[in-house]
Amino acid sequence: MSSAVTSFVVPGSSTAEMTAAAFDRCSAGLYRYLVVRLDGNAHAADDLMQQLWLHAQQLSDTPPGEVEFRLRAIAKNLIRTHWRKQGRRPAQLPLAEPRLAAELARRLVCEELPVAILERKEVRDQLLLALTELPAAEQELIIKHYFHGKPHAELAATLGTSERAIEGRLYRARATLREKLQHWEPT
Amino acid sequence: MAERLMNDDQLMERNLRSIGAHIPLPAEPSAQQRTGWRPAPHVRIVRGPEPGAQPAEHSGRWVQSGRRLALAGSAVAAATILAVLFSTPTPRSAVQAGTILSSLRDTLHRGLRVTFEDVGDKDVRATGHVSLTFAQPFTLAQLVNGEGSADIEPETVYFQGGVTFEPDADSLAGLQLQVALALSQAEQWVYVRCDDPAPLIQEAGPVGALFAGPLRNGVLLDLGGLLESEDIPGGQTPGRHVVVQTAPDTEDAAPAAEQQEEDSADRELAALVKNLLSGQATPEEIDLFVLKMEQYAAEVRVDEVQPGLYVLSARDFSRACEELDAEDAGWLAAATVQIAYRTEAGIEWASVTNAGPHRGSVRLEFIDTLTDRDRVQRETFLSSGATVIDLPAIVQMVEGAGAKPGAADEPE
Repeated sequence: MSSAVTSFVVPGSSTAEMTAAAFDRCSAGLYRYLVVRLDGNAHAADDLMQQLWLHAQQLSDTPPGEVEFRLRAIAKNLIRTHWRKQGRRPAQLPLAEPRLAAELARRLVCEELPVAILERKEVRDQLLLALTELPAAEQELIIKHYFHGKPHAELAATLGTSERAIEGRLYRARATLREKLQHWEPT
Repeated sequence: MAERLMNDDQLMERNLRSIGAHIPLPAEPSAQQRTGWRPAPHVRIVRGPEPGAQPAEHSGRWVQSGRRLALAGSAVAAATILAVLFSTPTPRSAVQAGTILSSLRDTLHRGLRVTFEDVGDKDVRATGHVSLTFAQPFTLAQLVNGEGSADIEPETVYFQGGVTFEPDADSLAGLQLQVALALSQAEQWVYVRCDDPAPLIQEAGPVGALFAGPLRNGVLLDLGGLLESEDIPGGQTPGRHVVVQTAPDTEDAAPAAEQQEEDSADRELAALVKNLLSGQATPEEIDLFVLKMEQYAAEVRVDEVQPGLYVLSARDFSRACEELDAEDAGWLAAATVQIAYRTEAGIEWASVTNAGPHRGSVRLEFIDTLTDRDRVQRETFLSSGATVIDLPAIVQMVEGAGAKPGAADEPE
């Protein structure tokens, strides 16, 4: 009647290793995604990362390229559940404000943003929410280059590619970030 | 235009450098944290197309998160419960899913006992039990299809439970009600008690204040034979012609446009469930159902807990939750569904635990007769000082002498 077959995924098998590798590639980005949406609660984020890892093991049929997308969807649900269990979200929790985010996207390419603007919490929130929505690879690149000040050459050496390729990737990452802010559709 | 775009991008790059200097990022996870995300190597049972693998003991940790149970009418939830019946159990199991399903739909039952604890939503939670016996034995197929439903009449209904209104329940927040009910040939009454009726009084106004005192000690509304009287709207025998509805009533007012698609999918699944329960599903429908369910319960197993008693468990509905809206996902994701099957006797009970915002549970048992545990004794409430309101007497008083309950049935 059923075509379902009970099987066992044993760590160490090739499928498990591929899933684990896919998880590792995006885990830092997912962790940031969780921390920003959990009011900075690293402990809760760790707990949800454990749950994500368990979910990742269920994704053995998912192409490696789609694992991150699936895990992000699961992370979103885990966060909702977390706040439901807590009863209510803290008032200071970052919330997406599409209008403010779009205005920020416009100003990012029209003027040099005054420091006073960057000190506003709602502006920081929109930037962090959008940044952590980016795919892990783009997120990493932006953070390492703009937040940690790593030069192109160092990034190229780390990633085993050319400086020109890094410039191209950063260009696309900036465009994605701007797109996220401009058309806010949280994943 | 290209130059303009380049300038835009350069400006953005400059702004990003400024942002990087002023906006603190969350701390990077340490190596120890990363290690902690991945529990020690273990074997974990999953369902998937990998035949030939050797079975091993399950030692994985169940995904823990609070969810809501979905027995309350969602076809998706009903389907999820049934999903376990179609999921191939472990190779060691002697009980096949088809046997369990067949038993569930064909076995004759005389009664049901439903025990629930901490079920509800963000506004309210309830704990209690309800027991029903029926005049004639019935099968689930009859209940679901409504075939011969005229014969499926609850003979006796007993309910006892408590309801608590949560802080989100606005004006009723904090209100706690104790409710009991008995409907049978011998007695018909409803009991309500509220230790602190202040929110209720506030909501009901001056009329509510009249009941404040009695409610504190409990009010027992004796219905006498009034429910048999057709003088009272809805006064037919309670629960007569019970039919389990697994889909929204399509004859209701037209649903909002944005809900139509969702309702349609729900109805489609409900129809599928109905056909499966009633034994009318075609092989294609069964295949379709299996395909749907394989997306839902990620972990399914059967354990022989006693000689001849098998418990089928399904957990981790996170796959289902990816496709559901947040509220339905909240019901299901970490719920555990269990069905107990005894050889040559059939299904004994089914339960859903760790479900909903309060991590509630519901257990359904098939019973033949009521026990003392099922019967709710009115004397318990009378001895605790409940005020008895004799409704038939009040009706007589209002209608005048000679008006007896059920009198309207007699020709004038």
